[in-house]
Amino acid sequence: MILEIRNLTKLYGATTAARDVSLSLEKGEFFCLLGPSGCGKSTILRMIAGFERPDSGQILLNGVPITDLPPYRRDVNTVFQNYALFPNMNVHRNISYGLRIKGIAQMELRTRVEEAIAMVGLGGLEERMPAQLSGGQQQRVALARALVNRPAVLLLDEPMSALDKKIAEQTRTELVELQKRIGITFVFVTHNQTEALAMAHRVAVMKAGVIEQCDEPRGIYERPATRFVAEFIGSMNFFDGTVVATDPDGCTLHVTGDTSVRLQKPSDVTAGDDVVFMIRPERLKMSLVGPQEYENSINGIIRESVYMGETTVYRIELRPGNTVTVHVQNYLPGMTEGFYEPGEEVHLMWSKTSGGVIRA
Amino acid sequence: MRSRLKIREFHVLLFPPLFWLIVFFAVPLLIVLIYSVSYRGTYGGVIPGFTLEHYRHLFDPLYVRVFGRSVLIATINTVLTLTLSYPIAYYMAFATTRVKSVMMFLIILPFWTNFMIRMYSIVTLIGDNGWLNNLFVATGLISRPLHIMNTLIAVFIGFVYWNLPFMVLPIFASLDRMDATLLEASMDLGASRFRTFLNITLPQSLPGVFAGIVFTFVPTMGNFVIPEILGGPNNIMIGNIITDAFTQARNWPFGSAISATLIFVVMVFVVLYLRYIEPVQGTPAAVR
Ligand SMILES: Nc1ncnc2c1ncn2[C@@H]1O[C@H](COP(=O)(O)OP(=O)(O)O)[C@@H](O)[C@H]1O
Ligand SMILES: [Mg+2]
Repeated sequence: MILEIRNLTKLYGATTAARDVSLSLEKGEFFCLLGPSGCGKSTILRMIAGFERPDSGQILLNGVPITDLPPYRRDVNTVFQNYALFPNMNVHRNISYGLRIKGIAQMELRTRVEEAIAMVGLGGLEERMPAQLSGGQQQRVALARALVNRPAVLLLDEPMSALDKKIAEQTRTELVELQKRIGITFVFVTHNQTEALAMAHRVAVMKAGVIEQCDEPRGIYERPATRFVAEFIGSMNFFDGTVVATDPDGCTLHVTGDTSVRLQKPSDVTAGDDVVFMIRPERLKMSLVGPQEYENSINGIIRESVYMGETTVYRIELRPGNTVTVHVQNYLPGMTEGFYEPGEEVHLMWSKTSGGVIRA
Repeated sequence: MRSRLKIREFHVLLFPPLFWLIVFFAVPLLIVLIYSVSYRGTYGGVIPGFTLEHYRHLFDPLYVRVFGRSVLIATINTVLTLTLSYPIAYYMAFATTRVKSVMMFLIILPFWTNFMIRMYSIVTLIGDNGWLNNLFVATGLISRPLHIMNTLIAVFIGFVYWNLPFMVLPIFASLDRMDATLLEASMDLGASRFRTFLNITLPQSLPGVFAGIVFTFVPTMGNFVIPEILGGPNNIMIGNIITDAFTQARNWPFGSAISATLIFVVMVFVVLYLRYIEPVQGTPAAVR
C-alpha cells in the first residue's frame, strides 16, 4: 500500500468537506475521486498534498504518517486545477523548479527536464512563457513540472476541466498510457463520470464529504450501492417494489404494483423487503411486438421522444404517473423518424441479469 | 488584432486629456524654461533675453551640497519607507477581506486631512514638549525630553509618514493580484515558505515596489514643507532653495533654473530607472 487515508474528517464552519474518509491505494494505481462540485474532492486532495490540515484522521505515505508534515516535506506532487504555472518563468524553468529547489546537479537536471518534456510532448516550447501557451500545452507543463520530481503519488485536481471536449478526450488516452508507462500512483479528481470510468482502475464516488462507494468502474456502473451513485453515474430508472421470493441465484420482485420481475444477481434482500428496483435506460429493449427472448417485460405508451443523434431517448408511461426512460441506439436511420411515435403502445423487455435492487 | 479604424477613433478620444496636458503641464514647463534663461529684473520680475548666468550660479558649492543632500535624504527616505511598507502591504494582501478593508481605510484616512495640518500635528507629537516626550518622561522611560524637532530624524519621520500610503498601495496592489495557488505550487514542489517568498512572492511584487519607489523618491526630492516645518534651518533641501528664490529673494529666473535642473535630473533618474531596472512583467531578463 502506497497511500493510506484513515478516517479523515475536515469541517469548514458548518460545511462538512470530508467526513470519516478512508482509502487505501496500491502502488501504480490510477485512482479517481468522483463527485459533484462542492462534495469535497479538492479538500481531500489538499489534505494529501498538505495544504489543509484534517480535523481528525491520518494520512500515511509508504506506511509513514505525513499528516503533520508541510507540503514541501511530502513526496507527492500536484497538478492544480488552474495549473498554477509560474507566470514569470518559461516552460523549462517551470518544469525544473522542483529540481532546482532540491539542488539537483545541472547535468542530471537537464536530462530529467528533457525527459519530462519529451514525455508530455512539449519539445520545442522550452523557451515559451506560460501566457504564450494554449490550455492543453499549459496542462502538459503542469503535468511535467510535477512528474519530473518522480513523486510517490501524483495528485491531479480536475486537470481536464479547462480543456475543450475534443482535446480532453485525446488527453484522457494519453494520460492513461503515460500513467501505465511510468507506474506512478495517480489520484485523479473529477466531476466528469465518463473520465472516471474511462481512466481509473478504481473510482470513489463522493457526496457531501462522504465516500458513497469505492469500486472498479464496472462495479460502480453495474452495481451502484446507493441511489445517489446510481443517479450520478449515467442515468437510471427507479421503481418502488417488494421482494416476493429469494433463491441462491437472485430474487423475484413485484414492481409498479403487480409486474413480476426476475433478477439474477446476488443481493442481501429477503422476502417481504421494500426495495427500489433500478434499471439503466439502455438495458431496456423497446418493441412493438410482445415479449420475446427476455425474462422480463412491461408495456406502456410513448409520451415523448427526443432525437439525440446516436440514440433516441423515449419517455414511456407505464401507468399514470409512472414513467421510464429508454435509450434506443439509432442503428437504422429509418428508425429515427416515424417509427416509434408518441401515443403508440410499446413493450419494454430486459434480461434477468440487468438491473439491481437497493433498499428503499 | 486592432484595426486602423479603431486606432483613429482612439486618437479622437485622446484630444481632451492631451489638451489638458498641454495647457497645464507643457506650457508651465516651457515658461519655467524661458524664465530660467531670462534676465532678472532689479526689483524682481523677469526681463526677456537669453543668459546662462542662473545655471552657472547653480554650481555654487552651497547649492551643489544642498542638491547632493536632497538626493541622499530622498534615497534614505525611500529605503526606510520601503522597509516599513512591504510588511504592511504583505500582511494586508494575505489578510481576510474584513481586515483588508479596515487597513485600506486606515491607509487612506490621512488623505482626508490637509497636508500642513498633518505636519503640524507631527510637531505636537515629537516636539520637546510634545505628547511623546511628555509620555516618556511621565512614565520614567527617559529623564529629559528627547530633542527630535529640527533634526534629520524629524525630517525622516515626516517623509516616511507622508510617503507610506504611496508605497504601501502599489505593493499591496501587486501582491493582491497574485494567484495564491502559485505559493502552494511552489511549496508543493519542495520550496519552504521562505524560498517561496524569494522565488514567487517577491518577483511578483516588484512592479509594485518599483512604482512605490518612484512615487516616493520623486515627490520627496521636490518637497520643501517637511524640511522647513520639521527639519529647521539646518536641514534645508533643494525645494527650500527654490521657494526662497521665488519668495524671499524675488529671483524668479534663478528659481526657474533650479526647478528646470531638478525636473531634468529627476526625469533622467526615472527614465534610466524605468528603462534598466524596472522589470517588465512576464519577461525574463534573458529575453529582454
Ligand atoms: N477554504 C474554505 N473555506 C470554507 N469552505 C470551504 C473552503 N474550501 C472548501 N470549502 C467548502 O468545502 C466544500 C468542499 O469543497 P471542495 O473540496 O473544493 O469541493 P470540490 O473540489 O469537490 O468541488 C464546499 O462546500 C466548499 O464550499
Ligand atoms: Mg475542486
